[in-house]
Parts: sequence; structure tokens; C-alpha cells
Amino acid sequence: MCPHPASSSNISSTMAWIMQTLVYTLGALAATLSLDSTTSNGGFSQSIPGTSLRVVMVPLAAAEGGAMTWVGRDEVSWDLYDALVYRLDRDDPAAPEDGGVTRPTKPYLMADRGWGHAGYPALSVSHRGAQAFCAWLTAKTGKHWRLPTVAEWTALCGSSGMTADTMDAHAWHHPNATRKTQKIGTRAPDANGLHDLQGNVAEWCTMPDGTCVLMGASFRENANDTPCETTRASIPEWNDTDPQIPKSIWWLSDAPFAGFRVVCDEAPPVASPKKEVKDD
Amino acid sequence: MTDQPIDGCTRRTFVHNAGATVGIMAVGGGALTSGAAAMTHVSGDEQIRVGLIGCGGRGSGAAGQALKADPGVVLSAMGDAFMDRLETSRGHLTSTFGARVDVPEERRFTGFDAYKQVMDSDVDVVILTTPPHFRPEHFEAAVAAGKHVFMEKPMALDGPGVRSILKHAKLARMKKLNVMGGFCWRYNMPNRACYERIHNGAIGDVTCVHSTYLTAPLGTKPRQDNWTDMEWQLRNWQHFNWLSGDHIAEQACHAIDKINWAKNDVHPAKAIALGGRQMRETPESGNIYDHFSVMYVYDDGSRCFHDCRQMPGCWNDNTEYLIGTNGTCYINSWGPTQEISGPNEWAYEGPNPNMYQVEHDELFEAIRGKRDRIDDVDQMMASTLMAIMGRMSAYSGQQVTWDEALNSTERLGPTTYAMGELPVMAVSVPGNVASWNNAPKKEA
Repeated sequence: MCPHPASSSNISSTMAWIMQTLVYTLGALAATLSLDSTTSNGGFSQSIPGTSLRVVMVPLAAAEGGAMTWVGRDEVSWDLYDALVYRLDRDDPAAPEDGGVTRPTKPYLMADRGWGHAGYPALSVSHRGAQAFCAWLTAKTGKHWRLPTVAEWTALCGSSGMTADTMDAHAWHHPNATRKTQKIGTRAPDANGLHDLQGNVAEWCTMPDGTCVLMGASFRENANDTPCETTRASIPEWNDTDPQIPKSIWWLSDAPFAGFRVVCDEAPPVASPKKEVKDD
Repeated sequence: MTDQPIDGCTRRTFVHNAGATVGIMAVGGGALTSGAAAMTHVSGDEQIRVGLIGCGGRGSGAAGQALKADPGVVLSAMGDAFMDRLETSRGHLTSTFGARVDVPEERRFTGFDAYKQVMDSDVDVVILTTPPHFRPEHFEAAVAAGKHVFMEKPMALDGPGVRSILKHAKLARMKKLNVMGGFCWRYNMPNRACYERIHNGAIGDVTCVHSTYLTAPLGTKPRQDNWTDMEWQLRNWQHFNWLSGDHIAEQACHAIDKINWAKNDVHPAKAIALGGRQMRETPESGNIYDHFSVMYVYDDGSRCFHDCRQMPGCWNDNTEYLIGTNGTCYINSWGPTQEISGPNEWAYEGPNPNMYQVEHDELFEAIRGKRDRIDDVDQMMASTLMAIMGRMSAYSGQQVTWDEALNSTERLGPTTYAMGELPVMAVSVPGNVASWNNAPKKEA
């Protein structure tokens, strides 16, 4: 199986060269990875067993150490996140969980704030929730899913080709987002083929020490004032108005700007992640 | 239901009870001699002792807000149906507030009578945050014992419960007790600013309000082997109508309260509602509906509408849209967005402090005598009754008037409480009044 070469006119010539190289590498790897289906830009589309949902992945141009890695084309939508939270991937919602799967609690608060649901990016998601989603995808698919590293995200942003002149075309950010999130994939893709890297929701990434930070502008900030390397660590104010004690470890009552996208490694799945303590 | 008012409650006498001196003998004037009337205020530096009744996530949160509100507050007694819930709560609160959580073993009470023992523990204030089925009984005891009260919404789940609270609120007024209800959006600064403008005529007369609470289902706890029916239902209380009043009363009452707020506490004459249960599947999802749609009709012919839903994967919306004779208003409190359109165009720009903290800041200021006595009773019970009307109409398929709901003899739930067998009541079928709350399900 040999995927079609990248042909998007949005991709700069340098990026096109990198991606074509990856396309051929990917072709060789496709069989061993049991890719669900390949896409024209050398990525693949991963189906999620038990659902009709798919995650579209594109090659991560800035892969470290030469390993093959893919990054989600889009921020994770409510459609995907709901499947985890509301057990929409299970025929019997009451049946015991697969190993390694911990489901976020169902929120009492209005997690999406009424800004849009199907097709809109998940928000108010804590880093634990984002990591639980990766662990769930890992258990569901047998591939290794994780959050991007800060270095990967910074490189993706740096090579995105987005400039102050073109930002409004690529990003739902403060100047054009009307103070709320917007549907994913409705602004132009960047040079890497990614949507919404800047704008819409800020995205959880991992630091070298394993802690998580948000990167990128959300709908609230001007992406032109948010340099690629900018990181934001979680603060108590992001969960100030959760009226319960203990406050949720899964939902951030005051961080409607917190979302994420996923990365998939070629490496086989690592050992099942440690089960986390559930809150109520 | 009956056409005859019970305890003299009608829509026309529902409000303007504040300061009333009548009817006090009917609720036991002897309680007034207990000295409670003299403890209206707690002086500036005196300790204020709080008892928590209902140690779940929200109750623990409210206790935390009480402790933050005033440095003189100590949590000194706790009660819950279950010791594990109480100890979890005590642990979390102690980790934040240290010695101000002063609840030795002899002031930790469990079981259905725990509230009585908390009341007897020399506390000044009680936080009533059990499942709402028990609220009227707890409020009655709190007032009799002369305690200031913070009580979460909803405050009652049926006509008898509403009447009980209205009746005992009269005694609370005689004793000058503060009574705060957990309709938290009334303590939200952007909403206060907006509704103040509405009341001052910014959109003219409010002729229609559409409020929504469209959201996803709440969490459940799978049954454990050692749980009785009663324990299993209590730990999944939101999903059983006798404990929660259904989600229209338990959660969506916030959006119904905002109709009540917009109409400036003018009450509807009747409700016509529909509802049903399409999506709830697991045993823990109990016997409540997952959607309601209510039309409230007012004496002047105006109508207000409320829709609520708990289903996953759907468009969520928790907003109010007000239509007036001279403009419109759109509120999404989560946005937050508060916007008035028309000749008096306006949008809120300003601070948005944590409304849950504002509640307790104001409550303890009132207890210290630094602001007027807080008495949320008329407003909170009207909103509670509106939610009950909606549920009654949807369950029965009938039109339900305000007075019918208020004077209804329908009482939800068992009359005595014990950890043991408790069949799950059938899901109500509109048009079949006999099914409302009486017929047990075949399988618990």
C-alpha cells in the first residue's frame, strides 16, 4: 500500500518535501502498524472500536530521534471525549473496564458552556482528563497515544507558517472568535496540515519532568501575542468556582480555554498506565 | 390533589409573609422562650460554630466557603447517612482549614437521625446539604432549635414539603434567623447587575422568558455487594425521584429560578408540561426522566417556557432569553454573557467573583449583624414550587395550577427510613395518574 503524495497547496515547498519523505516511510510501516486507513498527506485515520468515531493523524514533521510519530490534525472534539466520559464505546455501560482505562467523572458543571458540542473542541479538561483520554485510546487501539511534548508542540508551531498577516485565516483567536470556541477544522490548515494549533482551545503538553502545561493561544488571546514557546502551568484559579470539595481532578471549572490534541508513536504500547484515584 | 388550600397557602398569600406576626402560635410559640430570639446576631469577634448536615461534595464545598467567609467560623459538628462520606469530607476540610475543623468523634453523627444530634451540638449555623428529600424535616428542626440556615436547592420536592418550609419560615422570622437558599445565581454579580436593570424597566414589561438547562447526565455509583436498596439509592440520589425530585427540580431549578427572577417574583397560575425518559439505561439511572419542557401561564396572559435535558452528546444550553415590551435580554451565565438589546442596550463588563463564596460572605456578614437579615424563603420556595409544578404536570400529563401543586397531598418517598429493602418506583406515565409514584417497579 502506497499512500498518495501530499498535494495540498497550503503546504510550503520545504514542508512538502519533508512530508513526502515521510509518506514513503509510512508506506513501509503501514502494514506493521495495522493502520486503519492512510490519508493523502501521509497520515492515517484511526477508528475507535465500539464507536463510529475516527481520529485523523498527520505526520509529525518535528519527530525527535528519528522515530515515527503522528499528531492529531484537530483538537480533540466533544464527540471523542464524550465517548470516554459517557462510555459511548461500550455496549454494556455497566460492564467492568478494560485494564488501564480510568474514566473522568461526569461533570455537574456546564463543561462546554453552551458554546457548541458536536464538532467543537472539548474544553474545561484537566491534564489528567487529557492523559486519561490517551490511556483510553492506547487500550482501545493497541498503539501508544500521548500528549505532545512541549518541544514537539513548539516545533510544530514554529514550522506552521502562520504569521501575523495570515493568523486570522488559521486561528479562532481573540480578534475573530467572538469570545467563545468555534467548530474544529473551520479555519485554514497550517503548513503542517494541522487545524487550530493556534486559537480555539489552548492545548495540554508535557514538560520534560512529566508535568503538563497549556500551549498556544485560545479563543481568548491574540495568537500573535502568544509566541510558540509560551507555556502556562495550571493554577488554583482555574478551578476556583467548582462548588464541591474535593474539587474535581477531571474538570476545570474556570479554564474553558483548556483542551488538547493527541500524538501517536510508532512504538508498541507501553505498560498499562497506573490507575488514578477517582474523585466524585 | 384538592382545591382547598391547606394551612392557608394560596398563590395570593404566598409572598409578603416577611415580618408577619400571625400564625406563630400554630407552629408552637413555646419555642420562642428558648432564648433563641436573643441570639440574632453574633458579635464581632465571637466564634461562630457551624454544623454540616450532608457531607457530600457540595456540602463539603459549602462548609469550606463558610470557613473562608469569616475567620471566626469553626466547623464543629458533622452528620451524614454514612461514616465514610463524613470522614472523607472531614479529611479534605481538615487538610485545608486545620484546627478550624474541630469535629471530635463525639460530634460526628451518622444515620437518618444524625441531623438531630448536630442540632443538639451547640452550633449557631447549620448547612443543610443532604439529598433534598430530607430538607423540610431538617429545616423544621433547625428553626425549632434556633439555628441560622444555609440550605441547598431544591428546598422541597412536593407540596407537603413546600408548605412545611413556608410554615416554619414564619417562626424563623420571629426568631430573626437568617435563611439562605442555594440558588447561587442570585449571588452572581453579573446576573444581579442584569436583573436589576430588568427590574428597573430596561426592556419594559417582561412578557416572555425562555430558560434552558440542556446538559449531560450526572454520575452514578455502581451497586456494591454490601449495599442495601436504601444505601444504593441514597448514594445515587440524583437519579431517584423521591430523593431528588427529578432533574427538573434537582438541577434545572436554577433556570426556573431565573424565570422567577425575571418576572420579579410574580408567580404563574399554571403549568403544562411534557417529558419522558429515552436515554437512561443502567439500574443506577433510577426512575427519573431525562427531558422536560414546561409552559408556565401567568394571570396576565404572559407565558414563560423552560426546557431541560440530561443526555450525552447533545447541544448543551443553559441560558435565559427575556422578551419585554421595550427590548430583549440574553443571558448565558457560564459564558458569561449578559446582554440587553433595544433602546437601553447594555452588556455586563465587570468583576465576576465566585458566587458560592459570595453566598457565604453575605450570610456570615448578616449573622454578624453587618448587613440586613437574609430571608430567601419566598423566592426560593416559589422557584422550587415552579419546578415541582413542571414535574407534576409532565408526570401526570395534566395541567397543574399553582394552588394545586402547593396544596397537593402527594408526598414522595417512604414515610420511615431504614437501611433495607426499598423497591424502585415505576417511571411515571403521562395520562396514567395512578403511575405517578405509587407502583413499584418489577425489579429493583
